[in-house]
Amino acid sequence: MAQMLSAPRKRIAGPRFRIDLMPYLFILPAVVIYVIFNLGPVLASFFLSFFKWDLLSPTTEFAGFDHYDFILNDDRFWNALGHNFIFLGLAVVIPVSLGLFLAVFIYEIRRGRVFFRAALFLPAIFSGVVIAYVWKWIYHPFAGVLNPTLELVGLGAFTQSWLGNPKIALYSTFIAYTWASFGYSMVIFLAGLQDISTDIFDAARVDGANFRQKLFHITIPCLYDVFTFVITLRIFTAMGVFGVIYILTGGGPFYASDVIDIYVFRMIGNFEMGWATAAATVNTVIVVCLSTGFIKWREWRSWTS
Amino acid sequence: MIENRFSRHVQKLAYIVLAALLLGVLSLSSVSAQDGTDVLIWSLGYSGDYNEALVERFNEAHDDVNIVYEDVLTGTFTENNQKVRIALENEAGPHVLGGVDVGANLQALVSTGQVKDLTEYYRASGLIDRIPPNLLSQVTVEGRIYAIPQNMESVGIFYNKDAFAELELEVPGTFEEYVGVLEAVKEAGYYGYTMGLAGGWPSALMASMFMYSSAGSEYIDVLSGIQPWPDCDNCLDGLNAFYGMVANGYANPEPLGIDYDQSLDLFYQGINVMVLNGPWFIDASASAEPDFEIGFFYLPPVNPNTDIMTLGGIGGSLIVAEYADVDAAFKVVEWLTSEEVAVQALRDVSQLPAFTIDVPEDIAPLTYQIASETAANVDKIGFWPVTYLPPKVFGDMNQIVQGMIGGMLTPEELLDEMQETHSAYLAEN
Repeated sequence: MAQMLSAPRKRIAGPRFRIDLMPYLFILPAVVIYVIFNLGPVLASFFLSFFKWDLLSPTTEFAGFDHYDFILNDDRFWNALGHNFIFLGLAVVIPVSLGLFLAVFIYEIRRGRVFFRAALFLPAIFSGVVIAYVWKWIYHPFAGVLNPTLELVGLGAFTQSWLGNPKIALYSTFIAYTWASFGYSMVIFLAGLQDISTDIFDAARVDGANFRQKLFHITIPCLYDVFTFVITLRIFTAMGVFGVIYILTGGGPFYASDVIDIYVFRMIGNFEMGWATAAATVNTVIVVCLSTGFIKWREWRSWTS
Repeated sequence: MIENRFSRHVQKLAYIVLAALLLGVLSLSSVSAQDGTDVLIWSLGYSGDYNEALVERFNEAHDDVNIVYEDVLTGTFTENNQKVRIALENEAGPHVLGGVDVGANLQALVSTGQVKDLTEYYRASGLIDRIPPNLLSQVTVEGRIYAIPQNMESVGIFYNKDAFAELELEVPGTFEEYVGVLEAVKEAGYYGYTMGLAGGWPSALMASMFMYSSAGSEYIDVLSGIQPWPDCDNCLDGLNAFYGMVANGYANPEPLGIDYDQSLDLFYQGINVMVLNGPWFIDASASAEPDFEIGFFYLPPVNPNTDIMTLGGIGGSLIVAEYADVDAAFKVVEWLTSEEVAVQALRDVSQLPAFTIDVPEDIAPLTYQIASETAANVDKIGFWPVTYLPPKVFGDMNQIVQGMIGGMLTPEELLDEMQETHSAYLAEN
């Protein structure tokens, strides 16, 4: 008994919890970069929104929720946010539909596919600044090409000051945004289309399906996940639109095309970091809620169907 | 064996090259030490080319101080101010900086202790007697002087002399005559007043020009927050006169559809015959090479009894960073404010130096005219609104003026909107 008691205990065999560190090491550089350049600034911005700071002074003054109170009671903030939502509503419909339509067109044609794909994707690779300046001249009321073209085709009644009319300035900037962005949607849809098995289309053709039936019953359902990705991308870009509007109208005339990022930029330009970061934080929360909500809704629909 | 000998040769050669490099570095550093103290400058307040020419002249004439010039202020007004303030705060910026905007910008630099108090330098150098008091007041914060006004500017109307001659028009002396000229120009099929306000700039300045010209120093009280905007009836008259440029068809159509640069093209092309601008426009218009001669006159005051004649003031000021080597920095400042350099600046870049208001006659006629008139009216020049208004309120004013030009606000509503914006800012700060 004594021997039994003093005998060395045998380890009981059980599940071994070994963590393989190698995969984590591989993703570590990406995580570090993400934390430094994405997550860090977002958290710093959130933190700063509670302090009164002019960007330079070594001292800050705790302001509590004062900046949020100011922002949320500022008509110009809501005006800018409203424009972002208009932009968002248009951005998830027009560049996405246009991208899908052109992707299907390119997918269907037999000759010149490479040419059309390159030509239609070209605007997407230009700098946003260049695109904005090009459109600034297109819209020029005296020297631009848009008004004379409208007159030439008998639509002279529609000629006007595209950037100077407060009722349409936002929509004019949206056209430039669409021109710059539909190419991305098109290329992503095209990649999605190429993933769909040709057998499905062949079977549909044998069954006598026409183009419309193939589009609505095969193509669009098969691109469900691609749609989720493209629309999420549009949510990000529409809620963060800046360059095109800044160059074309500067948010004017009289705030008619103001959006949150221009509102924030104006605050930063005036060293009002508290207001700027509070506005940016509110916008970030909205974007996160919108995109997460959208993705979750799509997942839920996917499971239920 | 052969390999060993070869590698020894290579080794020897490497030692020789290293030794030569080391000697070279040592000799270079000793030369640099002999050259004297380096003073880093980002801008001297003039155009890039002229800055470089000035630096070259200074370095040729001085052995003990060497200017190192970096052309980094190439962004917009706001971006440059940000760069300067961040660099000075981190002691990574220039030692001497020219072309600095005074007003709220200078006050911010002073409040964070980034610029040197120049009061004693002013007294010792006699500069205090050479600068007009109203300019000096713009660089004084709580009784101490922190900057040196480099130049004086005044804004007026540049006009197409050939078109005026063709239409047999005289330079107007009163606002009524000015409106008469605009009517005649309109009837002849030209546009009179050039306006490009897309993007905001320079809406607030143009509206301010007319408000100064009607309310005079009362408008300064409004900008300073002493008098409420809606209580300034003279400001309202000025705004109505400004709005009249658009409402009566005196300006080019669609002023909100084109930006400032695009509007200047209308003038260069002879479509518009008058443009409100400052002395820097002399060089800008010469580069555009219009095929007509350009003349200049001050916009006649909307209210003949006003005490302020036009908009303008200090175009830029010199500051010395708190961390700068005082002796070396002041040597640069002393040279820049010398008679010789100042007059040369007027000849080369049409800028009337604030520290010598004697205008030499051997300069181009248009430059001479503007410089002489500016010098003669120093005490009747109203300073840029941004000197008094916080930059945020000034930025909002650009948008609000757009609202009036676009018909979204009446002039009365503009004053109410400005009051609301200005008060909200002051309450938060």
